[in-house]
Amino acid sequence: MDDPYAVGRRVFLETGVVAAAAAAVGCRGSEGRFRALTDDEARTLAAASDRIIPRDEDPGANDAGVISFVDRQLATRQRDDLPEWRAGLAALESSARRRHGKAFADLPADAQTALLQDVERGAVESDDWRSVAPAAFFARLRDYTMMGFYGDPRHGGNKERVSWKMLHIPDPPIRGRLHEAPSPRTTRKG
Amino acid sequence: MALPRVNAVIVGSGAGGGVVFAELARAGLSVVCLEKGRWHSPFEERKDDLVNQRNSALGVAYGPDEKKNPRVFVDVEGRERVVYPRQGEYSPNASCVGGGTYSYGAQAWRYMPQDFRMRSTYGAIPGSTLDDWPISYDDMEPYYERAEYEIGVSGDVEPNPFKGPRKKPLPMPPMTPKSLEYEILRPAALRFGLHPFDTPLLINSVPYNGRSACMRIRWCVGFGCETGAKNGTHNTVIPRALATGNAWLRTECKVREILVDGHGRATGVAYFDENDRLQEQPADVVIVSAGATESARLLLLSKSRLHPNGLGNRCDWVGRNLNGHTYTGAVGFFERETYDDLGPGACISICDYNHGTPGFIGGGMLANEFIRLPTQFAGMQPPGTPSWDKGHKDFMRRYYRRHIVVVGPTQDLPTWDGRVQLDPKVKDHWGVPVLRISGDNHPRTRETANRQAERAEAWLKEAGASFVDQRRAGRGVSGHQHQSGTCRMGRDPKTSVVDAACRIHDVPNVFVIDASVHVTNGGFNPALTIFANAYRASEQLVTAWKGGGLRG
Ligand SMILES: Cc1cc2nc3c(=O)[nH]c(=O)nc-3n(C[C@H](O)[C@H](O)[C@H](O)COP(=O)(O)OP(=O)(O)OC[C@H]3O[C@@H](n4cnc5c(N)ncnc54)[C@H](O)[C@@H]3O)c2cc1C
Repeated sequence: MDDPYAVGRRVFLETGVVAAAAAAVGCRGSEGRFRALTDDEARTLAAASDRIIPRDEDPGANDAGVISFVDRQLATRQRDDLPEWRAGLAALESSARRRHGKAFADLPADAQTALLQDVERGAVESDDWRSVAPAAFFARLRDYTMMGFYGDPRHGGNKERVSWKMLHIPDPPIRGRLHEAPSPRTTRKG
Repeated sequence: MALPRVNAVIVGSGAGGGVVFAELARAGLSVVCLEKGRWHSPFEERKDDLVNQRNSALGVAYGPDEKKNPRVFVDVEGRERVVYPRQGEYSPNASCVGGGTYSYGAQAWRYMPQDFRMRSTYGAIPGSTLDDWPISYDDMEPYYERAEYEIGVSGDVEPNPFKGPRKKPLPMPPMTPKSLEYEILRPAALRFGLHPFDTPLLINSVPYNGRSACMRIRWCVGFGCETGAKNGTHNTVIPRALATGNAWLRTECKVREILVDGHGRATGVAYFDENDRLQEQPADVVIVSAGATESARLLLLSKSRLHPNGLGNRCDWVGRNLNGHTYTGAVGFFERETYDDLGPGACISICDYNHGTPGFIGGGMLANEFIRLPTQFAGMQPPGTPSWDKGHKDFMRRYYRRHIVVVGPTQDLPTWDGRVQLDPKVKDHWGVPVLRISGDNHPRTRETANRQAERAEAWLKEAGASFVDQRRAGRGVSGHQHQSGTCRMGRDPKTSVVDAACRIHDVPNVFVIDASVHVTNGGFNPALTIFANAYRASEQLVTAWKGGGLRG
């Protein structure tokens, strides 16, 4: 392919691994240090967003730091939305416990996906979803996961620009005439 | 306490207000321009992908302030809710020095001669207030030229056989090199017998007026330009006005009301200054250029004994005929690379479908679309493609760099019920009633717009797209960033708000000069027409001023 900006596949994979490892460490290190979410909420959200964008040959939502993205928004600009997020995450937990007797984060991936599909369609027990509409919560979860994964790293997500690398977007993405050199292949660590 | 009296006060420093500001100042009038928003500088431009005027998922970057300026939106089923500037239903444009022109896409279109004569061309349309403008393309031509030269336009419209007559070419050549999308779409259009050409842009392709040429980044529409190569009123006419020494721009000043004396004549405006203190600015002439939604609001708010329903609203026309465009088109998915990271985006257009399709009313220009940031593309999967999970990632990996969007603004049929009013309950941060937006687009507009989507699909298929997803017309009142029409220009005071000189019919010294006065809004982005009309109306205002008719 005549793509001047394409990053070599191998370099790319390595980058993903580095980013994933960094993210895992970051997660453990920040126990109890979320600004808006509780640790339990963050755990549910981490599991759910990883079903929205799962890790495969490329990094997934958590590798990219979607949790820190969401947490930062809920502590700042989107503060007013916190109650609704809280209610939605609690409802998701209740549904998981009602159906499987376990925390959402402890379910196998297929069961998590199946439950999220039902949340998306609104096909969940209404007792668990009294204060928030399931489909609306799912839409929010999906949108924020997308923003945290594909958005600018300045917002707290897209760590190491993993998604932009996945899409082979020149890094940094603001280029044009002043930056006509091919994409830098350096991977920034730490 | 009132401030010293000036000859003219202008409300708003956007496309219309900026031009009037410079023209009145150049003619020697003392002029104050009051702008609700801030003055952003290119040097502070940080291009936030989630907070800008194009993708406002987390907020708008250039105003209005998110919390202080709610509105009420009424949907086609009659359900109402409070909305905020980041939401589409709000019909947001921008609120800062330059108004929409600070962050716009900068497409620089002249309307076509037929666009000024829609009623004569298509007849009366049931359910629409379609009418002719009181002025013609020929009346506008010299002012279009001034706008192109004084604000600065690049491109090459010569290959467009459908354009109105023009005396001079555009002042700047089109951008080179051409982008990949251009190279893919152009031959396909030619094979179809269409007439593609380089989109005119208010962006410097070469250094112009003391500012540099575009550096071709793709993050352009919705953002300010960090090199100043994008031309708005903030970096052209407004600095020229200020350079005269008899013009003053006051930012973060929110005009609340036009003040009127016992004879029904305006005496100035009342506004909240940057510290939210109420001030009075007396003036001989008041020019309202607050954009099509807010200009109507200000007239409606300006109630007095002789104007109990607001200024210019004797026949209930203020706020009616709100229209922008019905945007439709198609997304083409390719098996080849279409992405070359070369901005500013929109670069190739056709006007073959603006008029002349039997059975359809009007039409619109079609062009390739500006950027899609990855977060935006993440919502663009065609039906049947998963919007999350692994299927979503596969879609992103496969098509982010292999798709083209062709879209266009279909000319809306204005309607009586597509409107803004004052909401009886909700107030803004300053305690002033906010706008209530309601109505629907016209069914025949939707038909035309859907025809445009089919044409976009055909063009993309010819260009090699392996499959195409049409973006068809939805329902709902139009307005948004191309908002216009709420203070219609016309000869008959019973069916319009201002006369052909943009003067309110029954108030001798108040003018509305912005998109509000557009009778119809063409099948094109409106800014160049707003500039041109502002040059035209300013010239008439200055003539009237010199004749002594406007002095208080
Ligand atoms: C992202 C984006 C892309 C666009 N792309 C294009 C394009 O490619 N081509 C094109 O032709 N058009 C484009 N537009 C539309 C274009 O910018 C508008 O049509 C144009 O700016 C409207 O001009 P106006 O003078 O009517 O109002 P505006 O430019 O909106 O100016 C009105 C000003 O009045 C101020 N104001 C409002 N109320 C008050 C008050 N009470 N007191 C004081 N000040 C007040 C506002 O803050 C604002 O600055 C785009 C707009 C946006 C936002």
